[in-house]
Amino acid sequence: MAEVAAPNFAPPGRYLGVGPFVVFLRAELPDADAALGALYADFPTWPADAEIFADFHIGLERPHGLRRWLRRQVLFSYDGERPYKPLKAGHALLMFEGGLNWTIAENANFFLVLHAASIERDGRTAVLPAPSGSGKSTLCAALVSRGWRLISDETTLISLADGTISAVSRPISLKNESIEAIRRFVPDGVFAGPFSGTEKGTVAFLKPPADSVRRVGEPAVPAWIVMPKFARHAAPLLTGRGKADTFMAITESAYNLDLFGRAGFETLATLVDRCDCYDFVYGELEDGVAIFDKIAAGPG
Amino acid sequence: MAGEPIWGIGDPEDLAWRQWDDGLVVYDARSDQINRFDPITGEVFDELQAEPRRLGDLVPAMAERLGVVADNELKDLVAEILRILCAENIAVPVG
Repeated sequence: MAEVAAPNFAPPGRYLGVGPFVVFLRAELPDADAALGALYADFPTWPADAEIFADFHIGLERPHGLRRWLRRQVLFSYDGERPYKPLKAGHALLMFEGGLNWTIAENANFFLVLHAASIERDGRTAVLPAPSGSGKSTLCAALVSRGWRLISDETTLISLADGTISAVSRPISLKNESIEAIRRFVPDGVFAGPFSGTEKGTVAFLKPPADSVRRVGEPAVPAWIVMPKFARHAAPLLTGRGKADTFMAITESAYNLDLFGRAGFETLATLVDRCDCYDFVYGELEDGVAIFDKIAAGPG
Repeated sequence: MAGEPIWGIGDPEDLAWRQWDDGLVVYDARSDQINRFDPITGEVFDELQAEPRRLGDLVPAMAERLGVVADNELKDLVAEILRILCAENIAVPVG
């Protein structure tokens, strides 16, 4: 049975349950360990000597060699490989979150993996595929603070067998202006960061709702595909979107569609078949929540 | 019309598709490609999928389906759509 104590990923490391995956994580940097402990406090973890199969072995390591004396850095390792250049040690959490996104996208090939957020209410799920900068994560963070269940902020995992979505509720990545917007919108939220000077500007993470983490084993049934776009001061505008258009757009969000051939096409087409499809422009988070609540209150 | 080829849709083992109000998407297993077509091309696809036809038979069927006159303009349009579907190996001569 999983322990409920605050996790500690310092050597020798610890197993971490993240949705359908078990990650063995070993964090050599105390700062990273503390931040991970705060964000993943509600997640199931197991000690290093537990007899558990890990899908991914991840390390946050100190580089060896002379360079480590010049500046404190961190390396991400996955199953012994080091796919990234080192970052400064203070960005270890950032490296873990980005690295885990990459690891899932590269390896979760028993799912069709979309670059999309997903949120659920009353048994129906909205999939939000959108490029970086569209306001997807900001809207997602606002909605899960108002009763929607977080399925995923970054990678939506679709079953090829039945089209349901497996939750992989993890910390929500926020960038630049959206960090302060969500701090105001979710005043009791638990945040890690901000981390400035990254490739994407300033980044912070919001701890996922405990209820979403607790319910991570419940598959989600897709009902809507919504393409969000943040436009400062814009009035909220929800417009229907053609399914062929939506299908083609969502193929751009699929990391591994080419692996599955016809089965991938059928899975994606069935997702579009079963969903109402929308474009959504918003300028205020309160408006975004109100519109999504209205969608959720509609007929099933 | 004798001598005109009869057109049909390629082997269903090779193709998967969805037709929606705003267009048709077709997956081709031979190339592992997905193509998207406009709604009228989708209607032609639908006609051919229901029953292989000569161009001369397809034009009046499309006129009825679209609620327009079966004139030369429609014939040219349908011929162009057939050419496009043929180029993607989606429409093929079946006889």
